[in-house]
Amino acid sequence: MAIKPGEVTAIMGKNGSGKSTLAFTLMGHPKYKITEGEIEVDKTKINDLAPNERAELGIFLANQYPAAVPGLGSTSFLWQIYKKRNKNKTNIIEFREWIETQAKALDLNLDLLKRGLNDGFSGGEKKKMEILQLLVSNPKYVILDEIDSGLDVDALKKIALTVAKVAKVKKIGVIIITHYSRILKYIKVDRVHVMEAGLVKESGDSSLVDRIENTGFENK
Amino acid sequence: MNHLVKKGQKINFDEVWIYDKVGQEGLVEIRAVVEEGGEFNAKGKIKIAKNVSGINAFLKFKVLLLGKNSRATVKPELEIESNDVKASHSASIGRVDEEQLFYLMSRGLSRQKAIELIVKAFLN
Amino acid sequence: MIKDDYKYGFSMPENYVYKSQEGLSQEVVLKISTMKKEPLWMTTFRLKSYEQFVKKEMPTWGADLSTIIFDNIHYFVKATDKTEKEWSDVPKEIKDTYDRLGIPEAEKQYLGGVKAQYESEVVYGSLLKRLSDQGIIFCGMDEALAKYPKLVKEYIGKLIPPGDNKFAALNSAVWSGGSFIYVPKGVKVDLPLQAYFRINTANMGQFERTLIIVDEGAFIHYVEGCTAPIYSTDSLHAAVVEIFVKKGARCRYTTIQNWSKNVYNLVTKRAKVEEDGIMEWIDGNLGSKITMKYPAVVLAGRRAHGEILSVAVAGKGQHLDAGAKCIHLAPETTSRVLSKSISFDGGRASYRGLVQMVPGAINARSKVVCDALIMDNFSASDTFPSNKIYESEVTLEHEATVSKIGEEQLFYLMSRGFEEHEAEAMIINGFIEPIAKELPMEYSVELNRLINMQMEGSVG
Repeated sequence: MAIKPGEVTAIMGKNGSGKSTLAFTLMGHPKYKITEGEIEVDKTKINDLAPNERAELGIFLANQYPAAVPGLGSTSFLWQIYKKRNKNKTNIIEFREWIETQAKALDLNLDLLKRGLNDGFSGGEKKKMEILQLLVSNPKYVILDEIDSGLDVDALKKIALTVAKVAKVKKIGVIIITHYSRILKYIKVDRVHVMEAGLVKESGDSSLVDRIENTGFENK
Repeated sequence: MNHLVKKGQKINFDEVWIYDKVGQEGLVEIRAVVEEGGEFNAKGKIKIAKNVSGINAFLKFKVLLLGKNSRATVKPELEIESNDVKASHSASIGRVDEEQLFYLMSRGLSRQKAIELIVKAFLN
Repeated sequence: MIKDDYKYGFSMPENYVYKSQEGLSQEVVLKISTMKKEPLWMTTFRLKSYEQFVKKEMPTWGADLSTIIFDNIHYFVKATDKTEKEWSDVPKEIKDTYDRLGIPEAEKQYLGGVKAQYESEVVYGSLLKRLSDQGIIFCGMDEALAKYPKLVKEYIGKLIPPGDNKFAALNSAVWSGGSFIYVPKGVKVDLPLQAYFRINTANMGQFERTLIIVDEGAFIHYVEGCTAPIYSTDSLHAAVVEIFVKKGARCRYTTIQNWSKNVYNLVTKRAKVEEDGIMEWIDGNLGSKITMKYPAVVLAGRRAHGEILSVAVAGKGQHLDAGAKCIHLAPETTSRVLSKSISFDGGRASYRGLVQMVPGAINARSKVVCDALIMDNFSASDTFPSNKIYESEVTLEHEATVSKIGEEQLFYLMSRGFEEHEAEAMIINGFIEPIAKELPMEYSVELNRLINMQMEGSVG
């Protein structure tokens, strides 16, 4: 599978087909061990790299079920990430204002920014928090793991458009993992892979999405 | 492991659960209802040995005190010497839930009958 | 006799020069009292306490106290400008911590035990004048006994009688130093009173006795100790703190303890809370070899409320046995306990608590939450709560959790570019945040930095 900068790849498949496992493996989750094959990012082999080393190479994973870290202030966390990932550091006051603007654009309640990271957040609020982290991480490759689950239509549209815009401007390589085609209405997809039982069963262009929408995953 | 302590009765409970093998899991819930003049004394210890991992241990005590002179002494204890574990316990002691009581009585049951039902459900 | 030009109780008058002596006996106790020129009732109090001390057994529970040799302890305090220690005697680890925390030179000397006095008079003299203008008494216990004997006699030993436990008896026999505070009715002290400012050797002494009386409707926040490690050659610290919170009054007592790793820190702290009164104990335990400390609230009046927030970080060679006691004696009383502990590098942190509700404590409510983090397989954590409920019309909730740092949390933070130790530090700071946020700002910042430093130095 090849992900090119500026291109959007959709990975689809039923529940249990291995999509999230792939996402975690790309990010280096300790629960998954690679027994065969290689992952390369800009010609660097990353199989043995720790998650933070992969983040340094520009990989960003928006989790399906983000963990909560109570007591770790959300805004403060975003600021820490920003400082790590951006050279032209702004000051914290400007940063805070900028974050609030982004949060408002996503319809995220500003009070949540004062809370512990994802502490007591609803599923949709956690997804928006992932997007805020994406915006401060300055990534080269973004993996969205079922970003659409838990979001209402308006939120989904806002997030999809935000990602599409940033990806286009910064030429980010995007992987969208989903088993619904809803989000794909708002982001132009260049390539589609369909997974089943941990393997890529079929690949194609965006027309594959329409076929799946009509006939489901069972066919073929 | 549920107990109904009647008037004048004293029930003592003292147990230790030892986790010393990798991957052991345990979920224990002990409930007691203490009638007026009864006494429930319980101690439950979860002990996790050194160098075991993947343990998941949970102990819960729930005690209902029904009347004047109902007494309960509850001591859930943890002694943990390994770190790759999840161990927790909880204890709650108190009277019959007013909301539940109100609900049942509003359906026509007498206070006495409502309490009987709640106790029965609690101990089931 | 003590003269009146005693300058708000800062330094000890010159005629207090004690001799160092080892071992404890009735004679030693008598000598302490006569040298301090105490009234007869106090001498009697000390002597009776000594008898209790001899009679009482060592506790059979808690940490291992078997290595305390009472005969090797100095029961007198030397109050001169210089101590017997040299800067070169102070352990390197402690000096390094001072440097990393950016502690000013003069403070380093004091904390390291090299200088006995801290020149804080100039800075804090005006502060204390402001307080005394409001009728607030804030002085050392020795001075309080001399200047306000009736007040002291009315309260001392009433909440923690000498017979309470062996170390309370010891303290009652040989106490020296500590703070005395009286806040008059309705007076709300707007800034935290810090014992750290009123420094005397006596305040960092082995057998401090503190007595605080907050009269009806008054408020005080008292802060004791500091996060920077204090190097003490005295290995036994047995302090007693008694607090009386009167009707509608509120007291917050914050302690951060970071004694050097040779110290046995055995403290008896108790507050009695009257109707509508509030008592808050905020307890940070970082240092010492062994700490046994269970801040207690006796909720004596209707609607009295008590809170105990405690943080314990037990590293190599440490056993911190800390907790809380909530005694509900009256109706509608409420209590809340939040205990967070971290053990690493072979340390052991234990929570030991008691919630008691007597017959008649109708509608009393209590909630206890204990969370423990064990960082590695060499460390340990215990929870020993005791809930004695003798009244049915009440609610008690208790929960405790012990675990390691969450793998998911660690992965999540690392995936955002943070190294493993950075991610751990963030999780740990988040873990103690509910308590750290209750501390005065400087303490909160120092506490976080100190814990992170301690973790960094540990075996992975």
